Amino acid sequence: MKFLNRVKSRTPESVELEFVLAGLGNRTYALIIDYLIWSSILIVILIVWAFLVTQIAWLRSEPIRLWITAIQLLILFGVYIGYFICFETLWRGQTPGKRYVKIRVIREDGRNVGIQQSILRSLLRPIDDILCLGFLFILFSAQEKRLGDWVAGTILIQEGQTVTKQKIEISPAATDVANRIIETGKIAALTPDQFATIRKYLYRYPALAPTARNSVSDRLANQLLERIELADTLPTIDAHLMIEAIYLAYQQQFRE
Amino acid sequence: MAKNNYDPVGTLSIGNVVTTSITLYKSNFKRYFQVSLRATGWLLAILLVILVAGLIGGGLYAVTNSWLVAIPVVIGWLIGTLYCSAKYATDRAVICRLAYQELIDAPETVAVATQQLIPRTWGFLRLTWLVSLYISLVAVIASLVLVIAVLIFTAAIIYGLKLPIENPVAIISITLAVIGAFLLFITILVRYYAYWFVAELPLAVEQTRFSGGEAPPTANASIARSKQLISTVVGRVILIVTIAFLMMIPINTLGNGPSFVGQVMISASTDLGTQAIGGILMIGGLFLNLLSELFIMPFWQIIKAIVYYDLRNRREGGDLTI
Repeated sequence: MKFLNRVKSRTPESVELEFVLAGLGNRTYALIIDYLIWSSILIVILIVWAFLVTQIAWLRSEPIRLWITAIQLLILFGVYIGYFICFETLWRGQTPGKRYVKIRVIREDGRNVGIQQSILRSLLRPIDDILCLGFLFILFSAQEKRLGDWVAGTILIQEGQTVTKQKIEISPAATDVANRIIETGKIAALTPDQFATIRKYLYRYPALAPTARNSVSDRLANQLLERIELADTLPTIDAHLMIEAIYLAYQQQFRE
Repeated sequence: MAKNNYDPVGTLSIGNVVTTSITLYKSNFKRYFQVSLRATGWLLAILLVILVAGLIGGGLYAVTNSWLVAIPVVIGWLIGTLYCSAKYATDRAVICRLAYQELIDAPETVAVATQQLIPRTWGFLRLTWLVSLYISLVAVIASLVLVIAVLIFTAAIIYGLKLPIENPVAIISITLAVIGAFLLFITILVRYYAYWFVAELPLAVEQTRFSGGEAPPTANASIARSKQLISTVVGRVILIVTIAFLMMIPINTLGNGPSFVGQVMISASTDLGTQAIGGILMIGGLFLNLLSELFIMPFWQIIKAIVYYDLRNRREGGDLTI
């Protein structure tokens, strides 16, 4: 999508990488999820604590009570600060929210974040939250960095969607047609971009409105047949089947 | 060059809808803001019409001493208000159209987009009305049904199970029923709000073909189309609206905070000085409110355009072409 900001970074090995920045929308989404989880953890701890203290008389006896309070404060502080540090370090730049939204914190040179970066980001988080400073910084900086990101030298990027998770269902009848297309058509005339469009079509076909399916299939099939110079030679078959066959044919052609 | 942004599906994720709208707003800020200024001007004009109608009415009454002068004044006020609201609704739609044209790589200038939508001005007024009417109907019906349901439930507990009202079981179950009914009410309302979220778009950008030629859809058709497009993805739309709303909280607080504080000061205090400060805060707050609306309105209109664009791609595959 051309409306998402991109950033180029160079690894220590001088490999140039291009990333799509996470963007305010994804970051807000991830933050909402994280804050929900994080506050529920804190609430559960407090409730369990209150329950223990009211139910067990021994915990209320004098010297122990002080210890218990100290431990409680320590745990709360640990969860408060530790949530983001632990997850970002252990999950290589992701928290549950970020993982769900498919974004990740990385260093500016493309490497994974370490515990140092996570700590810096976490310590500056309260300042970024006050008066929504972080929001403004992300909004107006080219690399979408909040204060924590500036100090830690990190950026947030989108993770590529993994193709394997998306299943493409292809009808068995397409294999025969594909073989005929390979024999007679110029499958090599298709560019990778055009193949990507075919794949998008196949992914999204089930979600298309039933009334729109035929016109989309017809249009795309005609364009493709024109491309591979088979517009008139093949007997008329279902447009969707034709596109499936061209998909298979392209795959077979370039796998060998 | 390696790329991590392999995008096999070509539709927008929830977060990217919001991000795209920010990018679009930032890169076209001048144009959208210009339309937003014009729209706010029409809002102010509605107030002006009230003022002018009041002055003229008062003047005429002083001269003629007859209540009959109210008739032309009220008619004039009505026409003025309708005209200004229609213009306001159209300018909002102009922003939607500008954003949508940008998305489909056929950008228009503000002048062209406005020109295109002028013939549809009254359609937008009707559309705005119908949507608010429908939403209010949903709210009234849902609240009636839910209140009756809670009452029946309460009666069943008290009379059916013969539990006294002080019984903890009765109290807890009735409280839960009330909370449940309230949540259900909110869910229903949000759901219908989402259904009609992009109602302006079809009227703003589509042309319906019929035997005699092309014409924009009617207000009713536009609303129906919004529901038809969104009905399969209501949850997504609700999430998008929630995220956008939460992101706008800082600006909203800035816009609504002072007038709210002013209101509290006026109603809570009996001290004249405090009330005076409250009054100033309230009036200044109204100004701030208008100012924040000036900035936020285009953002929402752009989100609508993006949701609509993405939905049409998902449902009708407009982008699936080589």
